[in-house]
Amino acid sequence: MVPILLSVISASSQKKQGEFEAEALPHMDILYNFALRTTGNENDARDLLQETYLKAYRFWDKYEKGTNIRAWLFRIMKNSYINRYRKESREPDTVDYDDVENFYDSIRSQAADTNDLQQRMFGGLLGDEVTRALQELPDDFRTVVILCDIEGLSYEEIAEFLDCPIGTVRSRLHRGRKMLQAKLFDYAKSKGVIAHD
Amino acid sequence: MDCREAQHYFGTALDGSLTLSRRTAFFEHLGRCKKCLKLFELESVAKGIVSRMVSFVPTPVAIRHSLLQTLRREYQTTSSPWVRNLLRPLFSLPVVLAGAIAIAAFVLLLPTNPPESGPAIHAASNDLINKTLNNLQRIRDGRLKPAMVSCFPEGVAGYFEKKGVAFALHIIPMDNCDWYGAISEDYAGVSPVHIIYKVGDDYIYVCEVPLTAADEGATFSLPPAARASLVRTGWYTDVHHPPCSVVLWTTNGTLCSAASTMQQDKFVSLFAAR
Repeated sequence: MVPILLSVISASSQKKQGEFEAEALPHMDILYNFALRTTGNENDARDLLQETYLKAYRFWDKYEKGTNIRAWLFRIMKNSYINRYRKESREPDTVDYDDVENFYDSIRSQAADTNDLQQRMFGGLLGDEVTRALQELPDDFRTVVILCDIEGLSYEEIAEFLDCPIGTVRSRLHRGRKMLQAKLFDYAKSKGVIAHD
Repeated sequence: MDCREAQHYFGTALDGSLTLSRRTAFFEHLGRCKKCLKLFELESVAKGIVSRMVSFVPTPVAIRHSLLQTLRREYQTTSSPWVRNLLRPLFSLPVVLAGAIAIAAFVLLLPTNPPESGPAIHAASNDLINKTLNNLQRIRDGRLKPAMVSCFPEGVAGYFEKKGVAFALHIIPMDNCDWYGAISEDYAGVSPVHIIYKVGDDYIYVCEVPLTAADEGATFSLPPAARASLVRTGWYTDVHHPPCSVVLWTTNGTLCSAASTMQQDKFVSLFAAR
Protein backbone atom coordinates (compact mmCIF):
# COMPACT_ATOMS: atom_id res chain seq x y z
CA MET A 1 0.00 0.00 0.00
CA VAL A 2 2.83 2.38 0.86
CA PRO A 3 4.30 2.10 -2.64
CA ILE A 4 0.85 2.88 -4.09
CA LEU A 5 0.51 5.96 -1.90
CA LEU A 6 3.99 7.04 -2.75
CA SER A 7 3.35 6.65 -6.44
CA VAL A 8 0.12 8.68 -6.15
CA ILE A 9 1.98 11.46 -4.35
CA SER A 10 4.82 11.26 -6.82
CA ALA A 11 2.47 11.42 -9.82
CA SER A 12 0.71 14.43 -8.32
CA SER A 13 4.04 16.20 -7.70
CA GLN A 14 5.20 15.40 -11.22
CA LYS A 15 1.98 16.78 -12.67
CA LYS A 16 2.44 20.00 -10.72
CA GLN A 17 6.08 20.24 -11.76
CA GLY A 18 5.23 19.59 -15.40
CA GLU A 19 2.46 22.17 -15.41
CA PHE A 20 4.63 24.70 -13.67
CA GLU A 21 7.52 24.28 -16.08
CA ALA A 22 5.30 24.36 -19.16
CA GLU A 23 3.53 27.54 -18.04
CA ALA A 24 6.23 29.49 -16.24
CA LEU A 25 9.56 28.72 -17.90
CA PRO A 26 8.79 30.23 -21.33
CA HIS A 27 8.71 33.66 -19.65
CA MET A 28 12.22 33.38 -18.28
CA ASP A 29 13.81 35.79 -20.77
CA ILE A 30 11.48 38.68 -20.09
CA LEU A 31 11.89 38.22 -16.33
CA TYR A 32 15.65 37.88 -16.51
CA ASN A 33 15.92 40.95 -18.67
CA PHE A 34 13.81 42.95 -16.24
CA ALA A 35 15.88 41.67 -13.30
CA LEU A 36 19.11 42.57 -15.09
CA ARG A 37 17.98 46.08 -15.94
CA THR A 38 16.59 46.62 -12.45
CA THR A 39 19.47 45.28 -10.36
CA GLY A 40 22.19 46.33 -12.77
CA ASN A 41 24.30 43.19 -12.56
CA GLU A 42 24.14 39.57 -13.64
CA ASN A 43 24.63 37.99 -10.20
CA ASP A 44 21.79 39.88 -8.57
CA ALA A 45 19.62 39.29 -11.63
CA ARG A 46 20.27 35.54 -11.36
CA ASP A 47 19.42 35.53 -7.64
CA LEU A 48 16.26 37.52 -8.23
CA LEU A 49 15.21 35.24 -11.07
CA GLN A 50 15.75 32.13 -8.94
CA GLU A 51 13.87 33.61 -6.00
CA THR A 52 10.99 34.51 -8.28
CA TYR A 53 10.69 31.02 -9.76
CA LEU A 54 11.07 29.32 -6.37
CA LYS A 55 8.29 31.45 -4.89
CA ALA A 56 6.15 30.92 -7.97
CA TYR A 57 6.52 27.15 -7.61
CA ARG A 58 5.78 27.22 -3.88
CA PHE A 59 2.65 29.29 -4.50
CA TRP A 60 1.67 27.56 -7.72
CA ASP A 61 -1.59 26.45 -6.14
CA LYS A 62 -2.50 30.13 -5.71
CA TYR A 63 -2.07 30.90 -9.39
CA GLU A 64 -5.42 31.14 -11.09
CA LYS A 65 -5.15 29.09 -14.28
CA GLY A 66 -5.98 30.96 -17.44
CA THR A 67 -5.03 34.37 -16.08
CA ASN A 68 -1.96 36.28 -17.25
CA ILE A 69 0.92 34.22 -15.88
CA ARG A 70 3.50 36.72 -17.08
CA ALA A 71 1.87 39.43 -14.96
CA TRP A 72 1.69 37.03 -11.99
CA LEU A 73 5.37 36.14 -12.25
CA PHE A 74 6.30 39.77 -12.73
CA ARG A 75 4.48 40.81 -9.55
CA ILE A 76 6.33 38.11 -7.60
CA MET A 77 9.61 39.42 -8.98
CA LYS A 78 8.75 43.03 -8.18
CA ASN A 79 7.84 42.17 -4.57
CA SER A 80 10.95 40.04 -4.18
CA TYR A 81 13.05 42.90 -5.47
CA ILE A 82 11.53 45.35 -3.00
CA ASN A 83 12.00 42.91 -0.09
CA ARG A 84 15.49 41.93 -1.09
CA TYR A 85 16.85 45.38 -1.72
CA ARG A 86 14.63 47.20 0.75
CA LYS A 87 13.83 49.75 -1.90
CA GLU A 88 10.45 51.27 -1.62
CA SER A 89 9.14 53.46 -4.37
CA ARG A 90 10.38 56.90 -3.63
CA GLU A 91 9.37 60.28 -4.84
CA PRO A 92 10.90 61.24 -8.14
CA ASP A 93 13.97 63.43 -8.12
CA THR A 94 13.41 67.00 -9.09
CA VAL A 95 14.83 67.36 -12.54
CA ASP A 96 15.79 70.48 -14.33
CA TYR A 97 14.31 69.89 -17.73
CA ASP A 98 14.79 73.49 -18.84
CA ASP A 99 18.41 72.79 -19.80
CA VAL A 100 17.30 69.98 -22.09
CA GLU A 101 14.66 72.16 -23.73
CA ASN A 102 17.07 75.05 -24.15
CA PHE A 103 19.64 72.80 -25.75
CA TYR A 104 16.95 71.44 -28.06
CA ASP A 105 16.03 75.00 -29.08
CA SER A 106 19.64 75.76 -29.92
CA ILE A 107 20.21 72.76 -32.19
CA ARG A 108 16.79 71.88 -33.60
CA SER A 109 17.17 73.91 -36.76
CA GLN A 110 20.39 72.04 -37.63
CA ALA A 111 18.90 68.58 -37.12
CA ALA A 112 17.26 66.85 -40.09
CA ASP A 113 14.93 64.60 -38.04
CA THR A 114 14.56 63.03 -34.59
CA ASN A 115 17.26 60.43 -35.31
CA ASP A 116 19.67 63.21 -36.15
CA LEU A 117 18.47 65.09 -33.08
CA GLN A 118 19.14 62.06 -30.92
CA GLN A 119 22.62 61.79 -32.40
CA ARG A 120 23.36 65.46 -31.78
CA MET A 121 22.09 65.35 -28.19
CA PHE A 122 23.29 61.98 -26.92
CA GLY A 123 25.26 60.39 -29.76
CA GLY A 124 28.48 60.55 -27.75
CA LEU A 125 27.13 58.48 -24.86
CA LEU A 126 27.80 54.78 -24.41
CA GLY A 127 25.26 52.06 -23.71
CA ASP A 128 26.64 51.69 -20.17
CA GLU A 129 25.92 55.33 -19.45
CA VAL A 130 22.36 55.02 -20.68
CA THR A 131 21.97 51.89 -18.57
CA ARG A 132 23.33 53.71 -15.52
CA ALA A 133 21.00 56.65 -16.04
CA LEU A 134 18.10 54.21 -16.31
CA GLN A 135 19.07 52.52 -13.06
CA GLU A 136 19.18 55.85 -11.28
CA LEU A 137 15.50 56.49 -11.99
CA PRO A 138 13.07 55.93 -9.11
CA ASP A 139 11.64 52.38 -9.18
CA ASP A 140 8.17 53.17 -10.43
CA PHE A 141 9.43 55.20 -13.35
CA ARG A 142 12.28 52.88 -14.26
CA THR A 143 9.91 49.93 -14.30
CA VAL A 144 7.57 51.38 -16.91
CA VAL A 145 10.44 52.58 -19.09
CA ILE A 146 12.02 49.09 -19.04
CA LEU A 147 8.74 47.35 -19.73
CA CYS A 148 7.76 49.69 -22.55
CA ASP A 149 10.98 50.71 -24.27
CA ILE A 150 13.12 47.59 -23.76
CA GLU A 151 10.67 44.73 -23.31
CA GLY A 152 8.18 46.22 -25.77
CA LEU A 153 5.02 45.55 -23.72
CA SER A 154 1.78 47.36 -24.46
CA TYR A 155 0.35 49.93 -22.04
CA GLU A 156 -2.47 47.51 -21.28
CA GLU A 157 -0.10 44.74 -20.27
CA ILE A 158 2.09 47.07 -18.22
CA ALA A 159 -1.04 48.26 -16.40
CA GLU A 160 -1.93 44.63 -15.68
CA PHE A 161 1.61 43.90 -14.50
CA LEU A 162 1.58 46.86 -12.13
CA ASP A 163 -2.06 46.56 -11.21
CA CYS A 164 -2.69 50.23 -11.94
CA PRO A 165 -4.72 52.28 -14.46
CA ILE A 166 -3.37 52.84 -17.97
CA GLY A 167 -3.34 56.57 -17.30
CA THR A 168 -0.82 55.99 -14.51
CA VAL A 169 1.38 54.00 -16.88
CA ARG A 170 1.19 56.77 -19.46
CA SER A 171 2.03 59.46 -16.95
CA ARG A 172 4.91 57.52 -15.35
CA LEU A 173 6.35 56.78 -18.75
CA HIS A 174 6.22 60.42 -19.76
CA ARG A 175 7.84 61.60 -16.53
CA GLY A 176 10.33 58.72 -16.52
CA ARG A 177 11.54 59.63 -19.99
CA LYS A 178 11.92 63.27 -19.00
CA MET A 179 13.95 62.34 -15.93
CA LEU A 180 16.08 60.02 -17.99
CA GLN A 181 16.75 62.71 -20.52
CA ALA A 182 17.76 65.19 -17.86
CA LYS A 183 20.25 62.66 -16.45
CA LEU A 184 21.62 61.87 -19.89
CA PHE A 185 21.99 65.54 -20.57
CA ASP A 186 24.05 65.94 -17.40
CA TYR A 187 26.25 62.98 -18.40
CA ALA A 188 26.72 64.39 -21.87
CA LYS A 189 27.70 67.77 -20.45
CA SER A 190 30.12 66.27 -17.93
CA LYS A 191 31.73 64.19 -20.68
CA GLY A 192 32.06 67.21 -22.87
CA VAL A 193 29.93 65.56 -25.55
CA ILE A 194 27.82 68.70 -25.63
CA ALA A 195 29.02 72.16 -24.77
CA HIS A 196 28.60 73.62 -21.26
CA ASP A 197 26.38 76.67 -20.96
CA MET B 1 -7.10 68.70 -30.52
CA ASP B 2 -5.65 70.92 -27.80
CA CYS B 3 -2.25 70.76 -26.10
CA ARG B 4 -3.49 68.69 -23.16
CA GLU B 5 -5.04 66.09 -25.42
CA ALA B 6 -2.06 66.02 -27.76
CA GLN B 7 0.34 65.42 -24.86
CA HIS B 8 -1.91 62.67 -23.59
CA TYR B 9 -1.33 60.81 -26.86
CA PHE B 10 2.46 61.23 -27.06
CA GLY B 11 3.15 57.64 -26.05
CA THR B 12 0.51 56.14 -28.32
CA ALA B 13 1.79 58.23 -31.23
CA LEU B 14 5.34 57.04 -30.57
CA ASP B 15 4.14 53.44 -30.67
CA GLY B 16 2.44 54.19 -34.00
CA SER B 17 -0.90 53.01 -32.68
CA LEU B 18 -3.04 56.13 -33.08
CA THR B 19 -6.19 55.70 -35.13
CA LEU B 20 -6.12 57.39 -38.52
CA SER B 21 -8.44 60.26 -37.57
CA ARG B 22 -6.67 60.86 -34.27
CA ARG B 23 -3.30 60.65 -35.95
CA THR B 24 -4.32 63.35 -38.43
CA ALA B 25 -5.59 65.62 -35.65
CA PHE B 26 -2.46 64.93 -33.58
CA PHE B 27 0.00 65.88 -36.28
CA GLU B 28 -2.09 68.87 -37.34
CA HIS B 29 -1.77 70.10 -33.77
CA LEU B 30 1.99 69.54 -33.75
CA GLY B 31 2.18 71.53 -36.98
CA ARG B 32 0.54 74.45 -35.23
CA CYS B 33 2.07 74.18 -31.74
CA LYS B 34 5.83 74.47 -31.45
CA LYS B 35 5.78 73.71 -27.72
CA CYS B 36 4.03 70.35 -28.24
CA LEU B 37 6.26 69.55 -31.21
CA LYS B 38 9.31 70.15 -29.04
CA LEU B 39 8.03 67.98 -26.20
CA PHE B 40 7.01 65.24 -28.61
CA GLU B 41 10.37 65.19 -30.34
CA LEU B 42 12.19 65.13 -27.01
CA GLU B 43 10.10 62.20 -25.82
CA SER B 44 10.80 60.47 -29.10
CA VAL B 45 14.54 60.99 -28.53
CA ALA B 46 14.27 59.51 -25.02
CA LYS B 47 12.40 56.44 -26.24
CA GLY B 48 14.78 56.01 -29.15
CA ILE B 49 17.95 56.16 -27.10
CA VAL B 50 16.73 53.55 -24.60
CA SER B 51 15.49 51.19 -27.30
CA ARG B 52 18.67 51.57 -29.31
CA MET B 53 21.33 51.50 -26.60
CA VAL B 54 19.89 49.23 -23.91
CA SER B 55 19.38 45.90 -25.60
CA PHE B 56 17.13 43.01 -24.62
CA VAL B 57 19.38 40.34 -23.12
CA PRO B 58 18.17 36.73 -23.25
CA THR B 59 18.87 34.57 -20.20
CA PRO B 60 22.43 33.18 -20.42
CA VAL B 61 22.56 29.39 -20.72
CA ALA B 62 24.50 29.05 -17.45
CA ILE B 63 21.82 30.96 -15.51
CA ARG B 64 19.05 28.97 -17.15
CA HIS B 65 20.83 25.76 -16.22
CA SER B 66 21.41 26.90 -12.66
CA LEU B 67 17.75 27.90 -12.28
CA LEU B 68 16.56 24.49 -13.44
CA GLN B 69 18.89 22.75 -10.99
CA THR B 70 17.56 24.95 -8.19
CA LEU B 71 14.01 24.03 -9.14
CA ARG B 72 14.84 20.33 -9.23
CA ARG B 73 16.25 20.59 -5.71
CA GLU B 74 13.12 22.42 -4.64
CA TYR B 75 10.95 19.65 -6.13
CA GLN B 76 12.83 17.08 -4.05
CA THR B 77 12.72 19.01 -0.80
CA THR B 78 9.04 19.86 -1.08
CA SER B 79 8.04 16.25 -1.75
CA SER B 80 10.37 14.53 0.73
CA PRO B 81 8.62 15.56 4.02
CA TRP B 82 5.56 13.61 2.88
CA VAL B 83 7.67 10.61 2.08
CA ARG B 84 9.57 10.77 5.36
CA ASN B 85 6.37 11.09 7.38
CA LEU B 86 4.73 8.25 5.53
CA LEU B 87 7.62 5.92 6.24
CA ARG B 88 7.74 6.61 9.98
CA PRO B 89 6.30 3.60 11.87
CA LEU B 90 4.11 5.79 14.08
CA PHE B 91 2.54 7.49 11.12
CA SER B 92 2.54 4.76 8.58
CA LEU B 93 -0.39 2.66 9.87
CA PRO B 94 -3.02 5.42 10.13
CA VAL B 95 -1.74 7.04 6.98
CA VAL B 96 -1.86 3.77 5.09
CA LEU B 97 -5.38 3.03 6.30
CA ALA B 98 -6.63 6.51 5.54
CA GLY B 99 -4.88 6.42 2.20
CA ALA B 100 -6.35 3.05 1.31
CA ILE B 101 -9.86 4.25 2.09
CA ALA B 102 -9.33 7.48 0.19
CA ILE B 103 -7.90 5.70 -2.84
CA ALA B 104 -10.67 3.11 -2.83
CA ALA B 105 -13.29 5.87 -2.70
CA PHE B 106 -11.44 7.87 -5.34
CA VAL B 107 -11.11 4.90 -7.70
CA LEU B 108 -14.77 3.96 -7.29
CA LEU B 109 -15.97 7.49 -7.95
CA LEU B 110 -13.52 8.31 -10.71
CA PRO B 111 -14.97 8.30 -14.24
CA THR B 112 -12.85 6.27 -16.62
CA ASN B 113 -11.01 8.65 -18.92
CA PRO B 114 -8.29 7.74 -21.35
CA PRO B 115 -4.81 8.56 -19.99
CA GLU B 116 -3.54 11.98 -20.98
CA SER B 117 0.09 11.11 -21.06
CA GLY B 118 2.47 8.19 -21.03
CA PRO B 119 4.03 5.86 -23.53
CA ALA B 120 0.68 4.44 -24.74
CA ILE B 121 -0.32 7.73 -26.31
CA HIS B 122 2.47 7.46 -28.84
CA ALA B 123 0.84 4.54 -30.64
CA ALA B 124 0.18 6.43 -33.92
CA SER B 125 2.55 5.36 -36.69
CA ASN B 126 3.25 8.98 -37.64
CA ASP B 127 3.75 10.16 -34.06
CA LEU B 128 6.33 12.95 -34.16
CA ILE B 129 7.78 12.16 -30.73
CA ASN B 130 8.33 8.51 -31.68
CA LYS B 131 9.93 9.53 -34.93
CA THR B 132 12.21 11.95 -33.09
CA LEU B 133 13.30 9.26 -30.63
CA ASN B 134 13.82 6.71 -33.42
CA ASN B 135 15.92 9.11 -35.42
CA LEU B 136 18.02 9.95 -32.37
CA GLN B 137 18.65 6.23 -31.89
CA ARG B 138 19.60 5.84 -35.56
CA ILE B 139 22.01 8.75 -35.26
CA ARG B 140 23.62 7.23 -32.18
CA ASP B 141 23.94 3.85 -33.92
CA GLY B 142 25.48 5.47 -36.97
CA ARG B 143 22.59 4.35 -39.20
CA LEU B 144 21.57 7.94 -39.87
CA LYS B 145 24.39 10.24 -40.87
CA PRO B 146 24.28 13.98 -41.54
CA ALA B 147 24.46 15.00 -45.20
CA MET B 148 26.64 17.93 -44.22
CA VAL B 149 28.50 18.99 -41.11
CA SER B 150 29.60 22.46 -40.10
CA CYS B 151 31.27 24.06 -37.11
CA PHE B 152 28.84 26.96 -37.38
CA PRO B 153 25.05 27.17 -37.32
CA GLU B 154 25.22 29.43 -40.38
CA GLY B 155 26.66 26.52 -42.36
CA VAL B 156 23.60 24.40 -41.62
CA ALA B 157 21.29 27.32 -42.35
CA GLY B 158 22.99 27.83 -45.71
CA TYR B 159 22.60 24.13 -46.55
CA PHE B 160 18.86 24.23 -45.93
CA GLU B 161 18.53 27.50 -47.81
CA LYS B 162 20.07 25.85 -50.88
CA LYS B 163 17.66 22.97 -50.44
CA GLY B 164 14.82 25.47 -50.71
CA VAL B 165 13.26 24.86 -47.30
CA ALA B 166 10.05 26.87 -47.34
CA PHE B 167 9.46 27.50 -43.63
CA ALA B 168 11.26 29.42 -40.89
CA LEU B 169 14.14 27.41 -39.42
CA HIS B 170 15.17 27.57 -35.81
CA ILE B 171 18.87 26.78 -35.49
CA ILE B 172 20.23 27.43 -32.04
CA PRO B 173 23.84 28.61 -31.73
CA MET B 174 25.51 26.79 -28.81
CA ASP B 175 28.83 27.87 -27.34
CA ASN B 176 29.96 24.32 -26.60
CA CYS B 177 28.72 22.62 -29.77
CA ASP B 178 31.46 20.57 -31.49
CA TRP B 179 29.61 20.50 -34.78
CA TYR B 180 26.22 20.97 -36.38
CA GLY B 181 24.83 18.39 -38.81
CA ALA B 182 22.03 18.68 -41.38
CA ILE B 183 19.79 16.22 -43.15
CA SER B 184 16.88 17.03 -45.44
CA GLU B 185 14.33 14.60 -46.80
CA ASP B 186 10.91 14.39 -48.38
CA TYR B 187 8.25 12.81 -46.24
CA ALA B 188 4.66 12.59 -47.42
CA GLY B 189 4.84 15.86 -49.29
CA VAL B 190 6.48 17.70 -46.39
CA SER B 191 10.21 18.40 -46.16
CA PRO B 192 11.13 17.96 -42.52
CA VAL B 193 14.45 19.44 -41.53
CA HIS B 194 16.77 17.39 -39.32
CA ILE B 195 19.46 19.13 -37.31
CA ILE B 196 22.05 17.38 -35.18
CA TYR B 197 24.05 19.13 -32.48
CA LYS B 198 27.10 17.25 -31.19
CA VAL B 199 27.84 18.53 -27.69
CA GLY B 200 30.67 16.66 -25.95
CA ASP B 201 29.60 13.01 -25.74
CA ASP B 202 25.96 13.84 -26.41
CA TYR B 203 23.86 14.24 -29.48
CA ILE B 204 20.89 16.56 -29.65
CA TYR B 205 18.57 15.81 -32.51
CA VAL B 206 15.93 18.32 -33.64
CA CYS B 207 13.25 17.66 -36.23
CA GLU B 208 11.58 20.81 -37.59
CA VAL B 209 8.38 20.79 -39.63
CA PRO B 210 5.84 23.43 -40.65
CA LEU B 211 3.25 23.76 -37.93
CA THR B 212 0.52 22.97 -40.46
CA ALA B 213 2.04 19.50 -40.95
CA ALA B 214 0.98 18.65 -37.41
CA ASP B 215 -2.59 19.92 -37.69
CA GLU B 216 -5.35 17.43 -37.02
CA GLY B 217 -5.21 14.66 -39.61
CA ALA B 218 -2.11 16.09 -41.27
CA THR B 219 1.28 14.47 -41.85
CA PHE B 220 2.43 14.12 -38.24
CA SER B 221 0.45 13.30 -35.14
CA LEU B 222 1.02 14.46 -31.60
CA PRO B 223 -0.25 13.08 -28.29
CA PRO B 224 -3.26 15.07 -27.00
CA ALA B 225 -1.33 16.35 -23.98
CA ALA B 226 1.46 17.64 -26.21
CA ARG B 227 -0.99 19.30 -28.59
CA ALA B 228 -2.85 20.98 -25.72
CA SER B 229 0.33 22.22 -24.09
CA LEU B 230 1.73 23.56 -27.38
CA VAL B 231 -1.48 25.44 -28.10
CA ARG B 232 -1.55 26.89 -24.60
CA THR B 233 2.12 27.67 -24.03
CA GLY B 234 4.04 26.89 -27.21
CA TRP B 235 6.08 24.41 -25.20
CA TYR B 236 5.99 20.75 -24.11
CA THR B 237 8.39 18.40 -22.32
CA ASP B 238 8.04 14.64 -22.38
CA VAL B 239 9.96 12.74 -19.73
CA HIS B 240 8.46 9.30 -20.34
CA HIS B 241 11.36 7.93 -22.34
CA PRO B 242 14.39 7.62 -20.08
CA PRO B 243 17.29 7.91 -20.67
CA CYS B 244 16.10 10.27 -23.42
CA SER B 245 14.28 13.56 -22.93
CA VAL B 246 12.01 15.17 -25.49
CA VAL B 247 11.18 18.86 -25.81
CA LEU B 248 8.70 20.33 -28.30
CA TRP B 249 8.15 23.98 -29.03
CA THR B 250 6.63 26.17 -31.70
CA THR B 251 8.11 29.31 -33.19
CA ASN B 252 7.23 31.41 -36.24
CA GLY B 253 4.93 28.77 -37.70
CA THR B 254 7.46 25.98 -37.18
CA LEU B 255 7.12 22.99 -34.87
CA CYS B 256 10.42 21.76 -33.42
CA SER B 257 10.81 18.38 -31.76
CA ALA B 258 14.11 17.75 -29.96
CA ALA B 259 15.48 14.66 -28.23
CA SER B 260 18.74 13.95 -26.47
CA THR B 261 20.48 11.61 -24.08
CA MET B 262 22.01 14.64 -22.44
CA GLN B 263 21.29 15.00 -18.73
CA GLN B 264 17.71 16.17 -18.58
CA ASP B 265 18.30 19.44 -16.69
CA LYS B 266 21.05 20.46 -19.03
CA PHE B 267 19.08 19.54 -22.12
CA VAL B 268 15.88 21.28 -21.07
CA SER B 269 17.81 24.38 -20.06
CA LEU B 270 19.03 24.77 -23.65
CA PHE B 271 15.46 25.15 -24.84
CA ALA B 272 13.58 26.31 -21.77
CA ALA B 273 13.16 29.93 -22.79
CA ARG B 274 12.91 29.42 -26.55
